[in-house]
Amino acid sequence: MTETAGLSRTSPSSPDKDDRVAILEVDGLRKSYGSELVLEDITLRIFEGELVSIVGPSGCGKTTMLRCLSGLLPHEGGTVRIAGEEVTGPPDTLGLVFQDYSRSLLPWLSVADNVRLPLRYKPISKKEAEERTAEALESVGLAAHTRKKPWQLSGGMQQRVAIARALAYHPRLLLMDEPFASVDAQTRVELEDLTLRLWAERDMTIAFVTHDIDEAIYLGGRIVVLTRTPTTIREVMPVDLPRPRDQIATKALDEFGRLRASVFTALGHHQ
Amino acid sequence: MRSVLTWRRLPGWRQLLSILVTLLLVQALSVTGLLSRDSFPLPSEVLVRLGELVTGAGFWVSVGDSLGQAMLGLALGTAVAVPLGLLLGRFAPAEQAVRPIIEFLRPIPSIALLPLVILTAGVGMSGSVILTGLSSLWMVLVLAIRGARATDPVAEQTLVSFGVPPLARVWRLVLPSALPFILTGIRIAASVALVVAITVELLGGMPGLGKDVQASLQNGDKAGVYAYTIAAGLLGLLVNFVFVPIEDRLLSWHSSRRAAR
Amino acid sequence: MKRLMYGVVVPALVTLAVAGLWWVLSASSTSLFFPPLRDILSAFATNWLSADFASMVLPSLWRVGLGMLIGIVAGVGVGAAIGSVRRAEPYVKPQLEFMRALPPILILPPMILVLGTGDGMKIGVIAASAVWPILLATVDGVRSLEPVRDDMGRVFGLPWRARFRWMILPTAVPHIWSGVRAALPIAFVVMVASEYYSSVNGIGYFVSQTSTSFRLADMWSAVVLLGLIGVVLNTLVAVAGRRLDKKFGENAHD
Repeated sequence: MTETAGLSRTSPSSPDKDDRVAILEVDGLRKSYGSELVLEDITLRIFEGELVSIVGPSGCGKTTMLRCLSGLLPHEGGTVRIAGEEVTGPPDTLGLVFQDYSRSLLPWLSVADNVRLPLRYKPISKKEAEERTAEALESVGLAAHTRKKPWQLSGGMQQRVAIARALAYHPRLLLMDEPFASVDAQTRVELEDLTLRLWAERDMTIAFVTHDIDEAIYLGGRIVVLTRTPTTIREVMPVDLPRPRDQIATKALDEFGRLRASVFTALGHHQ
Repeated sequence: MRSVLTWRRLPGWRQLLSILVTLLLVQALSVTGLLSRDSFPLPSEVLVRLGELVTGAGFWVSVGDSLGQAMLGLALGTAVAVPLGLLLGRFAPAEQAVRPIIEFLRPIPSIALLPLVILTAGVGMSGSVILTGLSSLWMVLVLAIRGARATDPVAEQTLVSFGVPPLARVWRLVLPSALPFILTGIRIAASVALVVAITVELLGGMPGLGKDVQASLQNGDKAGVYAYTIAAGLLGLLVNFVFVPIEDRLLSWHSSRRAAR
Repeated sequence: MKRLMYGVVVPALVTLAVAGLWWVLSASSTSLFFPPLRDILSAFATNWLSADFASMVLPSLWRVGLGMLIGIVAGVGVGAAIGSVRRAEPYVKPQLEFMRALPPILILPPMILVLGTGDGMKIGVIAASAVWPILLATVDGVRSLEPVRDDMGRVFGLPWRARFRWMILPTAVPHIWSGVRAALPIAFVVMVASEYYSSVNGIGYFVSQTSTSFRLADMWSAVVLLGLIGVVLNTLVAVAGRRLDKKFGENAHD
């Protein structure tokens, strides 16, 4: 079931920061709930065309960080910029895929209407909204299911709808919040390869949050490893694995095993 | 955690402030004549009247009458509804067979039977209790039937396989499983019984707060109408307030409550 | 086949048997208060299967209908407003809880002081009794929006009216409907009670008139009519509820 993904692009492993455009710029981000410090001094750059994995031990401030980055939650210290604009509320240059697909989709709207809904309130023509919807659903392989209701689809297909909704929105940055954590292993593999294919075909910039080490390595061009709360960045690792990646071949490489060990150690586990 | 829950139900300063502001607002509207004085006496007058009432004995007799009629009816209705409901809930065909009759009788407002009750049982306590009992009966019955169906079949089969006799199964399994439903039914029925009691008092002249409201209205005692009305509303709140913690305590073992904590 | 047997045939037979029993037991009744079923049914035919239906029953239905409509519009409007302003609730909660706990009949005397004893008073009392369950259910409904859904609406830049139209309202509909379902029997009782109290027509008036003039068969025919109207209304409410659930329910489909 593995498809060859990430067709012809190579991810730059030694970033030359000056001549690339930073889509996400986080400087000294801080956040606390009452007296409890959750995020402490997070500084991070994600450049145009990158696919960056963000891993952290479960229960760390991943969700809080994501909500601060997307402007859903006000942060206390530091700055967050997306596509050059300072984030004060959710910017329209951002798309988000939630873990909880069944709740993030609206059960009373059809698949196509779910994808089209955000476009109705963008300054684009009806015709363009229609085309973008059809194109996005096509590219996630759901062209045949546009008139169904989300709950008539399997979990994996529902998450494809959520991905299509984000694609049709044409974001400069796509945040994915543990998007495949609640689907079965087989579906997960398919969705990972779908993500790689869409990233390569569409020249996208993706920040992919996960707690699965293999997934982080398999997808990412770089891996950002977070600490336990108060959460900050422990390490940023380049992933020198060739693209296109392959579920079997890539994971069989020595380098994959070495990375897995380093991420594992960085997360604070002892072998 | 329980103490926190109890605290939460008590009005905080914001609620008290809000009630005060509401009273002052109505007072201001009445004083300036925006609210007609013919229909709305000053809140201050009503409160003074309420103060007079609660210091007199007659008021408490009325409260006792209203509560007594409601609770006696509730007890009688529950005593009939629980065994009947459990029986019907256990035997699905029997429940289906009598469902049309229940569905027909249930929506008949007990008030419609008030004249008949007055003619046969008079305007004393007993007439009122018949009607509060009937209303409670339907409310508890419907939930007792649902409760009896909530028995976990696996648990039931386990008991059967251990040779537990049927009556013991009802006592040990069916009743505890149905209890959350039955108690919810009783809590709702308690409010309904009080509403019915006060309604028949007002319309039929049975003793109680409802009768006092009607008497005040006929005597042109407007402050009295509102004072008794507020007292009846507070009594309604009290009935709610008392039954919710009882339900919580009796059901502390139940998973839905454990999860809430 | 078995389902048809237990679901339709047996219940019908049992109902007929109970009615038959009533018929037989009451056939020789000389009691003033419990007349023979035969008399009740013939009174039912003369009273309700005739032109009197329009003059006695339609006013009642009209009052309940209009009262409920006002109650729904006011309850949903005010409830949605209170539910949308997160901080408003603690300030209005005691008043709302009080109004819900207040026996609805007690709205009658103040209404008489304000509106007299005409139709306006009755419709006002019905509306003022029905509004509270609907209002409180609407507040709950508007509040019950999934946080993830709210996040989604904000991330994808849906303006407030869009979030209300596509997310809040559909979420609230099942709640609102359960409020309506709770309000309907209350409205029904209050209708009978207010007509009983003072009226020149309506079912409640009919019950009070016939019983004070000792026409008990006529009174019983009105009780039977109330039961039948109740069955019809409850069926309509259940059908509408299932439709709404199908359209807006979350997991009713799995």
